[in-house]
Amino acid sequence: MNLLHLLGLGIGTQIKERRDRLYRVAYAWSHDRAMADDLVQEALARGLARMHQLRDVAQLDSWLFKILHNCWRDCLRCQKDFQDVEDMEDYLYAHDETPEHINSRNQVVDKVRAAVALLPIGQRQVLTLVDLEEFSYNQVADILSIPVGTVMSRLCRGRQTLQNSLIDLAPVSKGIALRIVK
Amino acid sequence: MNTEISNAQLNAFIDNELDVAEKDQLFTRIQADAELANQVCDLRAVKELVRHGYAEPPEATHSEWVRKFTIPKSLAAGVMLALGLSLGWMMHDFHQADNNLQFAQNQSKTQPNNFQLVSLAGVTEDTHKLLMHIDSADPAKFKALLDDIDALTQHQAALGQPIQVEVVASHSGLGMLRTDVTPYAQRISELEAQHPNVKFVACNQSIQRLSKTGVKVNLLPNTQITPNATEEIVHRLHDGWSYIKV
Repeated sequence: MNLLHLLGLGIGTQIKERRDRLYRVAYAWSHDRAMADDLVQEALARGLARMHQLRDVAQLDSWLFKILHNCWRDCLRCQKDFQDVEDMEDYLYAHDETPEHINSRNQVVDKVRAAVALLPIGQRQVLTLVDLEEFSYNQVADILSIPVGTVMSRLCRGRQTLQNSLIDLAPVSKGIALRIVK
Repeated sequence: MNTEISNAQLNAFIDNELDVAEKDQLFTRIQADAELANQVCDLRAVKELVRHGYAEPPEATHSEWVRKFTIPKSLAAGVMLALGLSLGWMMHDFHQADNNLQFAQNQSKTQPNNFQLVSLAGVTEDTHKLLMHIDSADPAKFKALLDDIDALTQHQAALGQPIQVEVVASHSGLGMLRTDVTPYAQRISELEAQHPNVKFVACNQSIQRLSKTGVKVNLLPNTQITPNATEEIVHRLHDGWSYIKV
């Protein structure tokens, strides 16, 4: 009857096509290849099972990432026996030092990942959704079920932290000279 | 024009979140202020670095880890509970268990949002029928559960209001009802003998899952089996039972 029904066949395929992007973000959150893969698998399974709940095909991306976020929270709950995931998102540092950090400090990519891994999970999620997936602040707020203000403040804090640890790596470093002078 | 530009504004600027007027304003400021320009530049660099850092994430490796959360207990129970309650509201005289599920599926197709905003307010508790759900392998929880049942049944008997108790065991909680795992076989059978109103039910899905991994599941003699713990919980709630997660 509705548009979705007509497009129904295509949606399943579209969902599966999102796999790589979901994996990239799941990896950025967890920094664990197996876990990221499992998260994506679970998100895809849930997405496919609940396809009929998606009203607006244009929302497919944020809908899927919302599911991924829910899988991630479930996964955190199972792992840590945390009662309050909200608290954890704000304060928990998942890794003190990541394997990437230890093994190959010299590579930019690893440095970036290590720095991101040190961000509290809430900041890491916001940052990766904005930077990797280019979701708008509103979409991120919706995906993570948090207010837009929280998105902005987490993003600010996250970028600030990364800026402090990563800016030396940036190819153009005009800013640095100024900062040193200051 | 002299207002301070906040960090949040700069971030919004590089993320293209500002409207045209705000953007224009900021452009003007940036042109006039080298420090501000540098800040924007740094933020852009960070953004680029993050993108670079995950441009090619390492290939996935598969693990067994997924089993730990593919059936998120709390979520599944929560959704089923919400669904069960909403069903309860909508169809007071719709008794047949099999139809329930069918209805649930149809319902979710036609009204995808009915999972939300299910209020527990107004649900009357029937303290005479109590469903306890255990999904943890913690022996301390087993003990607490049995202690509670003991205390409850005695208390209610003293009041002259016998209580009906059903214990549903799923996931790791199944251990409580497995002859070779439970430390409380004796106690459970005594409890059952003393109180015909207390029964123990095992989730068949959990049994199957264990069996698949090669574990032989032997249940205590009087244990009943339900196809699926969450379904059992929904039906019980529908029938006015109280639900306690151990």
